[in-house]
Amino acid sequence: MNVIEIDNLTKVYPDGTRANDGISINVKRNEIVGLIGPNGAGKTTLIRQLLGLLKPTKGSIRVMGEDIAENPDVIKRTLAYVPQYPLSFPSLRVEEVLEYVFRMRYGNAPREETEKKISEVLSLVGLDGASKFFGYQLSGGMKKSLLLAMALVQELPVLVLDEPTSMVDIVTKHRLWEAIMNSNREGILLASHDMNEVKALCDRVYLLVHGKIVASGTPADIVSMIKMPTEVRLIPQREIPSSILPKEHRKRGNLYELAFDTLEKALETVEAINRSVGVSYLEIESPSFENLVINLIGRDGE
Amino acid sequence: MIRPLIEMELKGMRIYKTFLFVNLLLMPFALLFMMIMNSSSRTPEDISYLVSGFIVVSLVSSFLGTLTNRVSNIFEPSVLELYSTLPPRISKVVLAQFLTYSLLVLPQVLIGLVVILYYQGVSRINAPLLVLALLLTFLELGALAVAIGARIGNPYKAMAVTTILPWLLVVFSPAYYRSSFPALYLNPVTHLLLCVRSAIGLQEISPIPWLVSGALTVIFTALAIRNVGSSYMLEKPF
Repeated sequence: MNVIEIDNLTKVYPDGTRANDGISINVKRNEIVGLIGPNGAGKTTLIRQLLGLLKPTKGSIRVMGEDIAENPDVIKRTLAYVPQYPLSFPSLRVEEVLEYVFRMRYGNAPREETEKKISEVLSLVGLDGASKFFGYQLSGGMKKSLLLAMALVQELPVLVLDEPTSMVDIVTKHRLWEAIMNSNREGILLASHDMNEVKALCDRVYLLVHGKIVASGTPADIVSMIKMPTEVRLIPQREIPSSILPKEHRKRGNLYELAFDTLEKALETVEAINRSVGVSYLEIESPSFENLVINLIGRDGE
Repeated sequence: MIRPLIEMELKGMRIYKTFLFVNLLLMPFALLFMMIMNSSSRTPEDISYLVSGFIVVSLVSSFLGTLTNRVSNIFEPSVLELYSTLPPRISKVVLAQFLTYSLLVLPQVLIGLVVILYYQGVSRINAPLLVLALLLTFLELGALAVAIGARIGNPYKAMAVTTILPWLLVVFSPAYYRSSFPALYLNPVTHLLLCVRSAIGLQEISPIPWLVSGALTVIFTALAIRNVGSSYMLEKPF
C-alpha cells in the first residue's frame, strides 16, 4: 500500500485554467518524495486537493489506502501539514501552541506525557530555548520551526510539507532538514523550490511544469537525464601538449579555459593533464542540480 | 474539543488586553455610568429604554465588530490550509469563536439587565420572553457575523465592513432615541430592540418583531452553516 497515491489528477478552474493535468504521484512507505517546479506549476493546487480544500475535476487521491473523496476524515486522521506561509499565533507562547495542538489531537492526555512530548519536539526542531516566547517574538525561521513542531507533535503517519524552509537561514534550514529526516513518518511529500533541499532529503523527485509531471526519478536520475556542459579553468605546471587539449579551449596568460560536453569528459582530460604536466590551479564549473532542473524546465517549455 | 479552542482564543487576546479592556469594559461601562448619572432628569422607563439599547448595541459591536474579523481570518486560504489537518473542524473553530465573544460581552449584558431590573422592578419583566429575546439577539447577530466573515475570508477586506456596518445598524435603529420612522424597520436591530423592550415591559408585545427576528435568525444561521460547513472550502469564489 502506498502512503499517498495520486492517480491521474486533473484540476480545471472555473475560468478554464488547467492547473493540474493528469498527475500521478506515489509516496511509498518510508519514502520522502519531492515535488519541484516553478511558480504557477500547480504545486499549491495539488496540495490543496490533497488537503481536501479543492475538488479534483478528475482523478483520485488516496491517503493510507483510503480515498479522500469517500472518506474525507482520513485527512485529519493521518496527515500532518506544514504550510508555506510562516503563520503564527502572536499572543500564544510556543509551548502553549504545541500543548493546544497535542490536546486537540489526544484529548486530556496525562500532563507528564504532554510535557515530555512537547519537550522532545521542541528539542528536535531547535526551539527548546524559545518555549516561553510569544508568537510575536519569533523570527521567520522560528515560526517555520514551530509549524514543523506542530506537525510533528501530532505523531501522524503522513507528513506534507510546502516549502518548509523558505525564508529560513542556512543553520535553521539544516536543523529542520535533520528534524524532517529523523521524524520517522511513514511517508513524506515535500513541495519545494529549493533544489538543495530536495537533493538532501528526497528519495524520489517529481518535476512539475505547467500542471504536468515532466520528469521523475531519484535526484541522480534527474541529473543523468540531461547532459550539461562543464567548464574547466586550470593553470598547469608546464605547457600542455596540444594533443591533450579539447577543441574548445582558450589560453589567457598561464590560465587555460577548457569547455566540455559532459563532466565525465572534463574529468578525464584534467586527469590526463595532471599526469602529463601537473596542475597548480584548478577550477571546475559543473552543472548544479538547480541548473539541471532549470534546463529541464526550459526544454519542456520549448 | 471546544474548550481548548475557547482557551486558545481567550489566551490569544492577551497582547490586546488594554485595547479589549477599553473597548469591552471601560467605554461601555462609562456610557452606562453616564446614563445612570443622568437618571434624575429621566423616568425609570427612559433609563431602561436606553440601557436595553446599550445591551443590544454591545452585542452588535462584539459580534459584527470583532467576531466578523476573527472569522474572516480563519477563512483565509493559508489558515484554512493549516486547519485542514488539525483535529477540529472549521465549524467547531467558528463555534468556539462565537462562544468566546458571547462570553466577553456577557458582563455588559448582565450588568445592563441588573440596571433594568433595578429601574423597572421584577414585576414588569417577562423573564421567559426576555431570555428568548436575548437568545434571538445572540443567535441572529452571531450568525450574521459568521456568515459575513466566512464569505469575505480576508480580515483586511472585512475591516471595511466591520468599521461601517455596526455604526449603520446602531445609528439607524432606535437604540438610543425614540422613533417609529418606517425605514428603521428595514434594520434587523430595530426588531431585536422591540423584542427585548417588549420583554421588559417597555413596549406592547407584538408578534411582528418576533416573527421577523425569528425568520432572520433562521436565514442568517442557514447562510452561516452553508459558508462554514461546506467541504472543498477553497472552491468558493472568495
